[in-house]
Amino acid sequence: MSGNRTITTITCISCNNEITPRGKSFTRAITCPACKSYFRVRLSKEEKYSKFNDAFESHLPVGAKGKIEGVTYEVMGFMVKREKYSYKWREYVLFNPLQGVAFLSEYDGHWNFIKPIVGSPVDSGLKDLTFYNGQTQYRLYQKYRPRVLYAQGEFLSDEVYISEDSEVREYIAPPHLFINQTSDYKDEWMKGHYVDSAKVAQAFKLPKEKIPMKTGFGYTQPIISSFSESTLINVIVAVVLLLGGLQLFSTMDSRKKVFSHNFNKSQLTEQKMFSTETFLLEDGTKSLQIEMDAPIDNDWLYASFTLVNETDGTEHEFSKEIEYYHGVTDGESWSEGSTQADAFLSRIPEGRYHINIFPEFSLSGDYFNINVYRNEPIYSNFFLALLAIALFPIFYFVRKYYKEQQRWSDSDYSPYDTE
Amino acid sequence: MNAKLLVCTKCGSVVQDLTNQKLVRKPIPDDWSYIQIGTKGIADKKQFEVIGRVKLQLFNSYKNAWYVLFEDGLTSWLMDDVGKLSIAQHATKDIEFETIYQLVPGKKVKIKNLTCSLYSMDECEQVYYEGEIGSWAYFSRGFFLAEGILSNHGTVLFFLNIPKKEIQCMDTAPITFENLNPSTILTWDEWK
Repeated sequence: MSGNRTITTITCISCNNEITPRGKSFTRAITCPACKSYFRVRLSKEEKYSKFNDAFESHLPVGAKGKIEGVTYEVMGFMVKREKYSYKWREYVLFNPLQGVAFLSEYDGHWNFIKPIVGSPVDSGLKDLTFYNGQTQYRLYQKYRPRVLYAQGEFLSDEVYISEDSEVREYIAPPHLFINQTSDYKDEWMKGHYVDSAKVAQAFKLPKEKIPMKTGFGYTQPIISSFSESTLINVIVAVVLLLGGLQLFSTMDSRKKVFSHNFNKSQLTEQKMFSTETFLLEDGTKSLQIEMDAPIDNDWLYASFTLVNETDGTEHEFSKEIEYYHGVTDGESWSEGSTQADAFLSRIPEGRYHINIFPEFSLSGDYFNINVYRNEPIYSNFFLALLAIALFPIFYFVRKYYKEQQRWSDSDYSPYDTE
Repeated sequence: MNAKLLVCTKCGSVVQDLTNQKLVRKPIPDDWSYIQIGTKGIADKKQFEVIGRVKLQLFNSYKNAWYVLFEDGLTSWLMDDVGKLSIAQHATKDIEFETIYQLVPGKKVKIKNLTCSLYSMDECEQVYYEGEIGSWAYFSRGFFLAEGILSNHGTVLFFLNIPKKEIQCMDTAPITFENLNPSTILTWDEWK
């Protein structure tokens, strides 16, 4: 050290222990490692020291170095603070000569990394509860006056005095937050964001058991960290539009009538059946819709069908019943059933076909009509696909609602309060 | 150049004192500032070299004010506040001592067509100096240093002499480490 420089040493005002502070002359307050007294470093001797009633364990050792967002920080000091409802949390003062001071705050195993900023982040609308920073709305989570229960290590300002003189407001837009700390000394804004506990352990090369386990849901904890909500919505809209486009495209390939005939009871064969003429199905494998229509009135008609492929003998069997009843009861008319029925067969290969029909006529029914359509658009698959796609976002938003309620449960300014 | 104060950087002796304040040698306590006398950099698109230093030990923080000489012969101050850098120039402001002295952090005041929000108010406990120092008013403890944030995103420093009820101002403009591009700095390898 040259003649113009001195090595900073501090004498404990309680036990006279000589301390060479890690922060050199930047250290403005310190806890004596020998007697655990906390005092502000001042040139005058008229200074008081504090001793804390309780001792707390530091999860990040004072003096430990860790790399956060590419910057190596050293843990200079550690505090335990409390606010009015007895919520206690830990704050770690970090230092890097180029980046300055930063903080890690931990509550119930949930961590926030926080750095002081210059100026106010409020771009518009500072009302009591919300403001905008850019396009993001921040909402007041808590307002409090902290009390320091314990301090250990070195501090670049008198953190105990400043904390106890301060009113603190925390505004959140998870995973981000802004903190405004106002005291007689300073009106300071800080910006922070949620950090996973595993990343903190990794940064400081600590085993996971040394880091407190997460309890509940952190107030800045993101719901899902791997993608944003806007991304989710954009993907869903894109998939729905794609599905809709595909459905429209398949519908545009027009439906074609390939057979139509009226069948009269008087034309039944000895086998009590009808056999249609041969009709041709073309253009590959497509769907087939058989529509049966009968002018029944308070009556029924039943038929079993066999679609026969004349080339390979493949048969598709199905049956349909038509019932239609109507009347007036107590002055109100009613009706039940229909005079039509449809049968849908998917993936019928091209070829020559006929249909064998085994009808059962009631007393009054005499005839029915059959229309056969090729390439009937299928809507059920589309709606099933929509339902499948909707499952995840439905689950996400329901879960999000309950997680948000949980997030705000410790806040005096919860938007979910119904009282 | 026209230094008001010349302090030997090796032994700390006052070589020339034009401040009329009868200054004495005070060794500077060590700190973690990476800037030193001889550091070179760029500000306002001009090369500069650090030739002097005033270190302010405040009640709750510190500030290093580095006196810089630009390649064109002009001078300025490079303020170093725990990692926050800014270029500062003395400025004349049409503002009363009492207006700032009565302010509390968070409150606002009008300065010409700008709004100034008071960011901090801190008492200076000690002043240290070395190298070549130009125009600087306060070499002794006891004054208050207030910092305000202007509505045009600039900042301003107010030096408040309480007994004399005098106020002096410096306009500051933030500058990043990357834009400063400093060389001949203390590298502090243990932080890498």
